[in-house]
Amino acid sequence: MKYSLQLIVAATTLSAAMGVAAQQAGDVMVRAGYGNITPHVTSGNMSAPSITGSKSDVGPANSVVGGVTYMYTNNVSFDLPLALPFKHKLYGAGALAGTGELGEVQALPATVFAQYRFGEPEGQVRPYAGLGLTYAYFFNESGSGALTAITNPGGPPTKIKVDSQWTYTAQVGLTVKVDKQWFVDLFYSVTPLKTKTSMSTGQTQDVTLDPVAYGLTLGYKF
Amino acid sequence: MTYFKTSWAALGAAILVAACGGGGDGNQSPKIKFTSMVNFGDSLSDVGTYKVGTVAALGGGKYTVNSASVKNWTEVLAVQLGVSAPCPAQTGLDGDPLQGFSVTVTNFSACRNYAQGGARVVHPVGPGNKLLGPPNSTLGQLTVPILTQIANHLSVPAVGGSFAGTELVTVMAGANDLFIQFAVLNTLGTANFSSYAQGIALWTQGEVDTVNAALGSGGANAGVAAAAPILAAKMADAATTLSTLVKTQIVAKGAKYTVVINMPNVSRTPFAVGLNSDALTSIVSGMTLSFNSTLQTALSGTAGVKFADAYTNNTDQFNNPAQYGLTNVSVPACNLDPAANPLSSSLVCSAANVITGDVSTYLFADSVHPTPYGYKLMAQEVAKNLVAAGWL
Repeated sequence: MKYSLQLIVAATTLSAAMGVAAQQAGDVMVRAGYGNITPHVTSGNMSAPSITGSKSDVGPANSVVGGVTYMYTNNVSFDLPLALPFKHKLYGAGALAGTGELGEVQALPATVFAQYRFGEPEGQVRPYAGLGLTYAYFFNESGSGALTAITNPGGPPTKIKVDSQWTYTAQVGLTVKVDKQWFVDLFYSVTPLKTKTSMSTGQTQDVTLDPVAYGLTLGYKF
Repeated sequence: MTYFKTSWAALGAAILVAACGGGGDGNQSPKIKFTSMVNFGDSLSDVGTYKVGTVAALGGGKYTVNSASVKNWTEVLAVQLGVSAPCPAQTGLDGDPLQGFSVTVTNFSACRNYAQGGARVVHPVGPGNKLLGPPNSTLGQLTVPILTQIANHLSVPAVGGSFAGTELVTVMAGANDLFIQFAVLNTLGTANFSSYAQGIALWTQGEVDTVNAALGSGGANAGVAAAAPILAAKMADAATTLSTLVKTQIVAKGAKYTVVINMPNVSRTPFAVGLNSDALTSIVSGMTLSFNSTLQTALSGTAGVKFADAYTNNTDQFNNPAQYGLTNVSVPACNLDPAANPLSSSLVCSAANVITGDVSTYLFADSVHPTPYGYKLMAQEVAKNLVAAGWL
């Protein structure tokens, strides 16, 4: 986080010396940078057969993020974020606390945002707020030997499946101009997300993930 | 612009990867690559010490619902650890030759499961031993105690008096000390009391006198009440001795990975429930807790020793059977009627003499031993602790 703040400060300082440009109707902007997703997990108990109170936790993940923005009016824009998959680690919690990494899942949240960008098109700093439809896509799930040991000791490797879900995402953000074409974008978003994890050994688990995401990207306006 | 071209290419590749993605198996190898497993224990860990003579002929050999592929918890764990399947370090029986229960004792120096049904911590006479007389002498279990099991392991030439430090050592005992101690209550007020209590139950003359005085002044109930704290104290003694063996004969001899499993909740077994006496069940409970708490305290903080709390896990199985997929936690799966099961024990129980109905998710095979499903749950609890220790 400290590193990110330093970048913003640097970008802001830089932008002060540069000329003005606009984010206006018809503009298309692209961006790429770094993002983090941190789930705020509330885990249900694993269904039978399992040790009473078996819960799970999901770790944060970082990835390359970017996106394309289309300025529909001077203030209303549509935004399609793009990202490389986020690789999240799954951990034991509750009665399984201390069992460490039980598996891994990759997440690719696909969202289309409608955004409102405050201020004038030429504004040096333009905050924005957005609301989007999200498809939280989970794939490449894998279970560790530890998961097999806990769910089905001595058996074949236990496989995991995390259900992909439709939900929505609310975001706030900020663009800071660097020059006529280049800008820096900072965003923060929250996504209410409940899903279900199923294991090949028959157990299921309801998990509320409610991920919070933030990212810092460098953007270019065509 | 070059930056963006590269970036877009990367994103395109990512979407392709995502489209092809499918779930797979993660890394299944244990965190510690154990070379072998060494088991010390009683019937719960025994993989076929008595699978000889008539026991083998009846399709038995393990304390569960036997079958060709059945696994107790040590065998389940071995598969998960990726080590070779445990085999009994000694086989044989010293019972009635007329019934096929007298079979020459044979040692297998390549086998590392020393656990034997009836084994106690230190005393060589446990349940099923012929020195207890009938009906124990019919089967004549060898009941080599943990003390001697460890000594036997260290004396194997290939072992050379010490542990390699790359094996997983499992230790589970205590229940047979409980059964032998608890049986003291059957002798109260009889001519056998003093000799039994001071013999294999390891009581002192003073303890016998205390109970006799209570019997004299207050009758049978007073005698039982006076015996209860002594029985609990004897279990604490057994636990202290077991912890000393773990420290001085296992850890100090080079073992780096030892898991000690405490005693399951004997007070909830069909054996204890069948006593039909809250007072007696409560004594069993007190003895179990005395053993377990003493053992846990004595071993806590010992480097290289992890503790698996089978008692708490087992108690939870009784309280929440459905959570564990258990359909019955009180009725034995084996038909223990002597007509169907000559020993009234899971040792000779198989599909041929189980009760009718689906018993695959029953907890108990007989009055104290688990079904294969129960053993799998036990393996699961041990595995959970090994995972938490960073060993599995």
